[in-house]
Amino acid sequence: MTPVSTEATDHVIEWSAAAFRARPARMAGIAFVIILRWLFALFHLLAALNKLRLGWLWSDQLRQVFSQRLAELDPGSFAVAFLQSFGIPLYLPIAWVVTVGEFAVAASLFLGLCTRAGALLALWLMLMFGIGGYYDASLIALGAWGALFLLLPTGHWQGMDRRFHARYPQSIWFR
Amino acid sequence: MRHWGLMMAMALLAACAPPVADEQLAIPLNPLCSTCDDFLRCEAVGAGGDDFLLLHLRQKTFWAQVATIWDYLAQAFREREQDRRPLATYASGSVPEMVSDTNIAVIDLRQHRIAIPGGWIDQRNGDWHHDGLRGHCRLLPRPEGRALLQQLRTPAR
Repeated sequence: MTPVSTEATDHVIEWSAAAFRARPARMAGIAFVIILRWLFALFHLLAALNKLRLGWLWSDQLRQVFSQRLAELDPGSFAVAFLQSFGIPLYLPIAWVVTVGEFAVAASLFLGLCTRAGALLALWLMLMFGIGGYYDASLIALGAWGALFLLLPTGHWQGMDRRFHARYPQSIWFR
Repeated sequence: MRHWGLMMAMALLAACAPPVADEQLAIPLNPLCSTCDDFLRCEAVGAGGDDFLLLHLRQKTFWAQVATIWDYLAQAFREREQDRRPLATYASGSVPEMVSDTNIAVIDLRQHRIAIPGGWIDQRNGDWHHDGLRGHCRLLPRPEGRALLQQLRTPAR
């Protein structure tokens, strides 16, 4: 007998005209959040493709980016020490982590697969960008945007998480 | 679903386009930096070394920083043409003064020109135009620019 998760069925959304007519505000809100999730995924996909295009994974491009940023920062700031002692010496592994991480976020949020983990990864990357001297107000907006997909069960509303959660109800990856 | 596929393909193609050739500019400004302070020292033709204008291109405002998210997304579909930075202008002289704190500098990313109130600066050679050639501007190293700004802000005793 296949186990059935009541939590999973709570979040089941039926994408039909009848469902929109029955609860228009709720369905419009859910559709809006799903569109935001896809845009967030698109943002990360473009960011990762841009890094590929610039050759981050097989050149010293990121070292140049960090060096340029060093000149822009206040010499006494923590970010300068962070870049000098961590960012610049380890630029290549960082380039891989960031690029692969952004691809993973894009795939996770497009597919609704491990959605909350994908959102958490995006937030971690943003935190690292902030610490690394790239903090500005856009990170606040991006953080709030990403937090939506950590807090809400959007992978159950649309995506593969719903199916996997029904099959593996104990797994935290599909919640 | 078909439309999404088309959009993704377009985004992929746009992102893989070759980068725009980087020109060597006398006044390079990073249009992607939203938290940068840049300092230009402009001297009129024939003016003494102590007589100059200090242009402080300040970091973007909170909402302009937030709006860079859209700039980032949009650059995949259309080339960005200009950047805008808050501008404060200081005049040197026997009594240093702040000329203006509320202006905007508009940077033309194609023509490499910085439009300031009443004129413009050519980023390629630093020429300062205001009803013809008025003088020359140069980009100061940031520590030097900050020090000069501090000096101009400190009231004369």
